[in-house]
Amino acid sequence: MHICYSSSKMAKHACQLNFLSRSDGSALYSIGNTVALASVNGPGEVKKSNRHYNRSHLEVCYSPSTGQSMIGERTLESVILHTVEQVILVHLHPRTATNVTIQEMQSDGLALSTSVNATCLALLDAGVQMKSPFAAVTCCLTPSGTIIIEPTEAELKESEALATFVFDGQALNVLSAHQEGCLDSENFYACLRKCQTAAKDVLNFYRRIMEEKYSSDKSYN
Amino acid sequence: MSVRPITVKVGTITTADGSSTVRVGHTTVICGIKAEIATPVLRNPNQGFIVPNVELYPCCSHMFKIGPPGEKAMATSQFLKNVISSAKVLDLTDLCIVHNKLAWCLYCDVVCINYDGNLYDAALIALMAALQNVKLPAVSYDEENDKASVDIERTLPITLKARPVASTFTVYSDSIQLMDPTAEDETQGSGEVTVVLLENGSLCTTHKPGGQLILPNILDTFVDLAKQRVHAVNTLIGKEINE
Repeated sequence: MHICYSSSKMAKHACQLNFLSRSDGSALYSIGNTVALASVNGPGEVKKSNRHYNRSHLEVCYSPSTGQSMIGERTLESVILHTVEQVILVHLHPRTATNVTIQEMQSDGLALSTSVNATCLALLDAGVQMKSPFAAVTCCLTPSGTIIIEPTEAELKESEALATFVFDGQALNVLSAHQEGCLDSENFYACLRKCQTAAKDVLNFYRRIMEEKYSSDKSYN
Repeated sequence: MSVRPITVKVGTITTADGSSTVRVGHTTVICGIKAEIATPVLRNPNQGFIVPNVELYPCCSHMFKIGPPGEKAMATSQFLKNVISSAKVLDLTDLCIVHNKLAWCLYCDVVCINYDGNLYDAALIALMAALQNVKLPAVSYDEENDKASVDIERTLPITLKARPVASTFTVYSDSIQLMDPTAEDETQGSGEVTVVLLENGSLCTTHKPGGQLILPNILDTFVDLAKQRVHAVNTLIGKEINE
């Protein structure tokens, strides 16, 4: 078990792999003060009603830190499901199911991007075959026109708009996009470019974590 | 890229305070708005509420089963809620009747009766048309007796500050994208992208939940096509309201 920290250019990213002993793969991921725990089980047993003849059935379950799961959490699950569905090689495991469970540990406004990143690392930890890793970056636009990458909850409250983008690991193309608040075209593209650049750092962070996991001078049990 | 013809009719539900029926090709969506009086929450004592809810019953398509709202219905409800708050369509303080005591709560029920793809666009058009059709009765509040009385005869429409319009595209591959997908396009494609624009061309919401990877310049093309659609849809709704 090990913890890695990213460079100091953005909010501090930290991650601990294999946090849960009974899951196939798990990752405790934090961006600043937002912390999410993702656990992956699969590909494994599937209910008859969910069985697909040519692919694995994906399920995502998101639990908030406080309160009951409501419509906001369901939409978060839906976004993560569709993102992950695109990247996992589901056709390699027909008539199985892969479960992703995300528990929000601490919330400071970046629930979506922390959950997505935690999911990616949990999938890598579980060894589920994927086309490429994926990285989520959130940014917000303040009333004065500044773009802040990975804002805190307080900064988000003051902002006019926020946008979360998920990029794939190969060519940094847009896998998912979610925007709230109004942005004119040039601000939207400025946010997209900034997030794309930040995503490179996130992907390098993943690489460092995975290198540490498999480094030969550590006895990994 | 060609889009399907859109038909809008307002005031189709006489028992509702505002209503509309929208057809985008074969996709048919009805929106009914009921206004009820509620108590504002302590945190926002001078704001009313607007609660959109989307229902997808088995009658509209074989994809939907009876029971609690499924993923598509919830995603669409959340999408409408997001667009209303991002675009600041309504000033919620306009819905307040008496500070900290009475406020209007608009329950917007969007029901799809025939699903042929592109629910997001149709649902938003239906919601906007129904909101422009809402007439709220005048309310007088007697402070001494703590009683509110509603005068159904005197009604006022609500003022909308923005009129967002959604445009959905299906992405098949790097070179093939279709605008205004039908149900068949959606099942065959690899994901939808919805772009919501305001009348002045600024982006109110972008919704791309997974699906095929796209290059940023493709988003550019989508935004340009969406701009033409905004004008067409708003003129259509405006014409219907004025009749």
